[in-house]
Amino acid sequence: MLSLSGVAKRYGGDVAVEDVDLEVAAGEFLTLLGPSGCGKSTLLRIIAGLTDPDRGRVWLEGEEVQDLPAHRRRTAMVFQSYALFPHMTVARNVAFGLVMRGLDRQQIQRKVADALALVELEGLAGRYPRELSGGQQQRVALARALVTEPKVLLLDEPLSNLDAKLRDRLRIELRALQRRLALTTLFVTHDQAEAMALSDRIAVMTKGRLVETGTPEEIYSRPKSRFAAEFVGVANLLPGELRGEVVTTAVGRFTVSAQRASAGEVAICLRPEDIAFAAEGPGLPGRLTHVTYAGPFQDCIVELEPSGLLLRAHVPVRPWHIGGRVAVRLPARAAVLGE
Amino acid sequence: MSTLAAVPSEIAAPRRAIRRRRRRRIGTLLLLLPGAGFIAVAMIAPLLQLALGSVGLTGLGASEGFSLAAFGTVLANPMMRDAFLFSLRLALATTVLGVVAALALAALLMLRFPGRRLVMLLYKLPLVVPSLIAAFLILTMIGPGGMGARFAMQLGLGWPQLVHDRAGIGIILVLLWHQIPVTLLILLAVVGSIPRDLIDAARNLGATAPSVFRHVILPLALPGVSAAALLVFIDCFGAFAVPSLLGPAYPQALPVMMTTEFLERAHWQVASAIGVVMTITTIAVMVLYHRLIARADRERAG
Repeated sequence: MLSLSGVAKRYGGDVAVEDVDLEVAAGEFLTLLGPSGCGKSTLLRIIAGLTDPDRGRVWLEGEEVQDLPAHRRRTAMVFQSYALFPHMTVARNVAFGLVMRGLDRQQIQRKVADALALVELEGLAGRYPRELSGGQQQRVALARALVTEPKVLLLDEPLSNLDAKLRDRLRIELRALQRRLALTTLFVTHDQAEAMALSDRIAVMTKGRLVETGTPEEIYSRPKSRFAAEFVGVANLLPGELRGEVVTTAVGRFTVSAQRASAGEVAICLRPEDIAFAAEGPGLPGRLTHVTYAGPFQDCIVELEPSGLLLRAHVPVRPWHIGGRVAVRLPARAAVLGE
Repeated sequence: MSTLAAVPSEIAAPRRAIRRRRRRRIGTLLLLLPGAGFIAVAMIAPLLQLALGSVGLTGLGASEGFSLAAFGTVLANPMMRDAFLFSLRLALATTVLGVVAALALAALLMLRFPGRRLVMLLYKLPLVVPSLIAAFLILTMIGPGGMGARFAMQLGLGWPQLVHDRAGIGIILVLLWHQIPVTLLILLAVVGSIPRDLIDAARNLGATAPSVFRHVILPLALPGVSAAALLVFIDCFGAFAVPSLLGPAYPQALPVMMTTEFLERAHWQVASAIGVVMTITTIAVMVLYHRLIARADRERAG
């Protein structure tokens, strides 16, 4: 559906995007996840034709498009700022893409009405963007993009300007809408929770490079790279030595799926919820140095003895207190990380 | 006792408050003085003197006292009427042509093309050349016996009268030469302030470059366009040097008439009355402009 091959872009001497290869299947929701300035928005703009790549190729539905101007690509982008035209009403904003494509007036009216119904904004067609709330503006931007029936929907951090509650609700609505329309979607965010909640697959980016691609579950539970392990969720990284399918660390041996890493010095990733402890019983001796109530769990830091290694653990809510001695149990399996 | 003792303090307290308020007000007025004083001395005083002079209360010849005779002379004189219409025509033609040309150039400069940076530099050149010099340049280029005329003669062709002509073509050309860069400078600043996302969104939604300009950039730049047009109009309506050098013997531009009345005929009252008429015309145009803008805003707000 959408393919990128060897796409690169530099601004002066600074690398924005470096040799990115990516495949997005039809109807898939793929998220480009990474910190600010990692090149994810540039990649989106290259796909939309708003930025010219220095090299590389872009295919959309089998057609090579990197030399096509933006207005002929049939992509639709929702901007972080929404980019609604302030001098046009909601209806005219939504109709803009259809007018540009030369549809007749009746068709435009029908499609605009359908698009506004889709985002539940039927009554606001005559309003101006400045008269709408942030959430409503976001929906108009989405309707304006969807009404053009694009080959691929490009979303550039469209939820980041909304408050947490509204963002959460719109996340669910956006995903439901995308599933219903079976629309190939590329979503850009630096918010890992958003990426996890929305995506079929996540592509993790840093410094212009795509470091890892996988389902949210793969990225979280079995990250392949140190960057992905640390960027997505909280990670306890333990150095160790890999032999066969076993990594030996200072605090014990862990079975790993060794096919991705070569023998030698490696790191393993333990998620905070993989770590358990009890007041007494079998386990590694440790002392709690930090305890925070986090709603459904307690966020703790435990110092293992005698190694002094600090581990972050999310444990069921109990009356744990700082300085308390605990017996720490670690899982038998862990994810092994390449560089 | 306690009741009696309370009475003076109750009276004294408001008095103190009044004194405090008065002191604060004087302080505020003193703070306003540098700004307000400058405006009063530099802007209001000359206008006031002009207005008083037009009715014979200041300036030379003021001894006759209050009189509206000068306005009668200005409004009844067909030469003055023609001068007013000539200045109006010059200002309107320059405004319309200048704004259209500047818009076209602004649209062009939004595109990327080889030599764009050079054009961006060159268009500012007329801003540093005084109008009078530009007038001489135009005179040597398109005047009778100028470069254009001699070239046409070589080809055996005639050459139309483009300076000292009744249509004021020479004047308009020089005014345009100066006003297009000014307008372009304002327009580029206004266009530059339009968020890039809006232009990208329009392109992404299928708009070609001309469509982006027509549907997004132009409507959003309109307040800047109209402000630039207003400035050009005011500047050209009051232009003296260029119409004086390149204008026809008849009709003369209103500022030229005004100068003649001042310096050659010493009719200070008539000259002041012409100044008042020009000021009122400019104010009328500004009021009209603000009304139009306010109406457009109301219509836009629904």
